[in-house]
Amino acid sequence: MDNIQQWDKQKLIDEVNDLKNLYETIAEHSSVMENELELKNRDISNLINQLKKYLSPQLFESIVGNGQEVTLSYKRKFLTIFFSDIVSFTEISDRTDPEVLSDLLNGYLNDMALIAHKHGGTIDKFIGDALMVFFGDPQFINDKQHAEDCCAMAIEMQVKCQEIDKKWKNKGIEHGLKARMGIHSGYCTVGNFGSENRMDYTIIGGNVNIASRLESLAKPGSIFISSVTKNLLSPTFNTSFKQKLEIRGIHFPVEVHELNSIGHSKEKLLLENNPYLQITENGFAFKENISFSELQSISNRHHLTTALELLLQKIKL
Amino acid sequence: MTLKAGDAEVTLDENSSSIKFSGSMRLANMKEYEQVADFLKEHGNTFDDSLVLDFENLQFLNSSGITTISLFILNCKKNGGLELTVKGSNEVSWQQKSLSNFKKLWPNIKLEMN
Repeated sequence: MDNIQQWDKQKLIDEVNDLKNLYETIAEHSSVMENELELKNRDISNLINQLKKYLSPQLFESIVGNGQEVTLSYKRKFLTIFFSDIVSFTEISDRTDPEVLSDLLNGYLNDMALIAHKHGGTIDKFIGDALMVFFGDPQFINDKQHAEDCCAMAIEMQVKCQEIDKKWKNKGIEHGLKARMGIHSGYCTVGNFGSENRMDYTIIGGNVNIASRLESLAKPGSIFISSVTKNLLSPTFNTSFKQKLEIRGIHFPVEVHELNSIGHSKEKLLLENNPYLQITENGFAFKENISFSELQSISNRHHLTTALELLLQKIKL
Repeated sequence: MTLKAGDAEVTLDENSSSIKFSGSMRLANMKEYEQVADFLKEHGNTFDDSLVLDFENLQFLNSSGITTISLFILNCKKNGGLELTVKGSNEVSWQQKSLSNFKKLWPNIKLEMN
């Protein structure tokens, strides 16, 4: 009897030991897999961070964010296209030490890229000293907004170029930095072009060529835009007509305007700061939820007076 | 004879008296692993007194998978009379640690790492 009990006890101990070993085997195996997963995740994060440097934030989000497979595909879309390049860059290259030139060029392109990202532009490519940006894909807002964002970007870039110009001259670059810029809006084919293994996300079409042509026509330090883009802008953008341009392959003359500045009118500033008014497509209006009794009790008389004055001016117009 | 288990395959190789695992074994739970457990149970005794479990080409094995294999090994130990060899690869990271743990389950196992 004792032997049988002893045998059962030993059997139980063996089973418990087996279970303990089984548990340890599974737990350690899981740890190995988790650690490997963590390392792989770290590798992927590093790769994604590297990838970020080569793509616009919008495109990066479009590829990495939704995890869709990138394939050779394209679509027609209305975009605003921007081109810029540095005046006399070939001559600057010939006269400047390559190491110095590389630093200066990278500094310039980096500043331009930061401004493009700030305004929501998709950097298509850097072509030597030239920059190609477009608005409207992959992130789409509306055609008017894309044109305005692009023009605001170009103006900020030209302001930045004036600052860089001084730096370059201080570093002995006689020509300094002057950039030409061209902007046009129109339907383009946008998508991935190339082969299954090596593709570029870019845009093609006649309208891209028009934007490029406007850029080459622009005076140093100026921005030339087409009438298509101009017509999408709000009146706060100051432009002046320059000429009609015949472009090979385009059957109609393109009206060229120079983009001078963005004027923040007194009216717009007041509207933006006035809690009783809202900006509408036609200008401004009282906020819908304001009742007559609320208007009577408005404590900030200055805002109310301004609102009423503006309203009166509109009625007179 | 081959069992297809998701992205993995389990093959009975009579020439080398072995059951070979390949691919990536990531079935969802123990219920899904029943097919693998049944395959091992059915063919584990094919070669009378010896069996090789060859994991060299198995890139991934999840927790339910290692549990299924471990339970098979414990069963072999319980039944006795079988010489069990486990073959693995040092090139596959999970095998470096987990296969040697099989010896804890049954010290008689012969482990061959390539």
